[in-house]
Amino acid sequence: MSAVRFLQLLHLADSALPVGAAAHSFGLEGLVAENGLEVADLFAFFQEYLEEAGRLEAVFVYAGYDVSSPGEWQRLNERMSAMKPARETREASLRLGKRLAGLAAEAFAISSQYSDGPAHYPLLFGHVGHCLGSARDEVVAAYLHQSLSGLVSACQRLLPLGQSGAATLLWRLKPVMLETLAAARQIEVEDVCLSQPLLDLASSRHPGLHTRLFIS
Amino acid sequence: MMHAQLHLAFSAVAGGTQLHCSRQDPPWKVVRAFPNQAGESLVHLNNISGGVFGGDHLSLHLELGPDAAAQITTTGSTRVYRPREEAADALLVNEIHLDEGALLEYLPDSVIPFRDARFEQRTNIHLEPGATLFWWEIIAPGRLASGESFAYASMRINTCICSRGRPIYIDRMSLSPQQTKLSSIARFGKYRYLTSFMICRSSEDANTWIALEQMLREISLERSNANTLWGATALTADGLLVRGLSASALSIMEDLFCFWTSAKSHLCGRVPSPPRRTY
Repeated sequence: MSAVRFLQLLHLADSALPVGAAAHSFGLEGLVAENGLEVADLFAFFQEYLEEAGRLEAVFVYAGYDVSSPGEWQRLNERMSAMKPARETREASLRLGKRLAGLAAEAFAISSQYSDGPAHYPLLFGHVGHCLGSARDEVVAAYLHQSLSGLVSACQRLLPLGQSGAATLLWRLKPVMLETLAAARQIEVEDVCLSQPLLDLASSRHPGLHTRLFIS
Repeated sequence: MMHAQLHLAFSAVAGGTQLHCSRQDPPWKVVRAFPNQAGESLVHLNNISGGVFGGDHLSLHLELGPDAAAQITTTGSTRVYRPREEAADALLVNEIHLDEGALLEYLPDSVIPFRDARFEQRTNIHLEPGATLFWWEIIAPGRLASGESFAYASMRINTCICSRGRPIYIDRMSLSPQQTKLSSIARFGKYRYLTSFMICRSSEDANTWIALEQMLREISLERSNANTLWGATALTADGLLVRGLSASALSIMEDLFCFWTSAKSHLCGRVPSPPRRTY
């Protein structure tokens, strides 16, 4: 990888990328509020999260990287919408995708035939990574890292998790991210499964929480 | 492997809906249809073998013609038996097509996978404009009274609902409790029963679903307690999902009836006619 591509990928993978991810917990807030998710559970929780929810998203990042026609792009986005039944989580993914499309056009000077219309964030992330010329696996690894960083950061606001604890957690999860990537590489979008109903349910119930720090 | 098929078609006729059964291979058995109070054609699905065995391949094909209205239920829980080691996974395939203006209420009892059971359910539902669907499924953890909780080997649930040819709901769940810890907080937490209730109408305005989501969310909050969590959420288009996780089965049917009553009143302007007297 050339130095400039490496820096561009670092930029894309930055958890502070201004797409609005910091406003979302993707169901975590509900798990903390109603299901007793605690700091001590986090490593196991994120391991399991990566095994399924993370893998599903990674499969779609790969698909976004490989996409070759507007028709396929539309089908992928429709499929991802159908696989995200919880409205808040689905809309968050689309909102982030829209912001990334705008940022890619304005800041990264990437003109894409897929930037109009609804686009899920993982698909668009894969596509932008492809446009930047980064390697396929590295784009997916960057996505998983950014996604996990965002969720760990959400935990810092929801739970008594300090900066060192968050950094340690994220560091320990890196091998799991690579296992997720390796698993996702073998799976087609038609075959990927998600068996984490409590996470989905927490997201569905999120609008009914009395106090909310996050949009989702 | 035994491949048993049941083909049912429903067509609207003056004053109601008529059932046509073009094929029923054992163990499927449908005796007749009964008109219920709401005007739907009520059909009970029987499995005369008493359950699903390893190697079974059961297919259910449902066709609802324009404006036909059917309510389908089972006569008891679907028991998925422990298979012989060499037997293939038991497979249930549901292929369902609802033509314009048709109504299907599919309200089966729970699926109970016994110890070491291996089961796959594939469901494809196609909705034409104006078609309405109420579909629930309840997955039990096993025979709790026999000390079986998540003792089955595998359960795969693949459901796809398409409206006007586009997917609005895809659920691909693969549960292997002997290999993965289902009690983790990412999966089932402290709960054991999983209930999904899909409420769809093709080509319905998006605002309908937002209003219904709000209505059913309030019921979700009322009906949730220490043993049960319910949530309601609008799908990407043309539908809504009510999902529940419960520690016990006691209140599931009663809760579902509340959701069903509210949703059917909102969408169809009439209350449902339950296939049984009590919920």
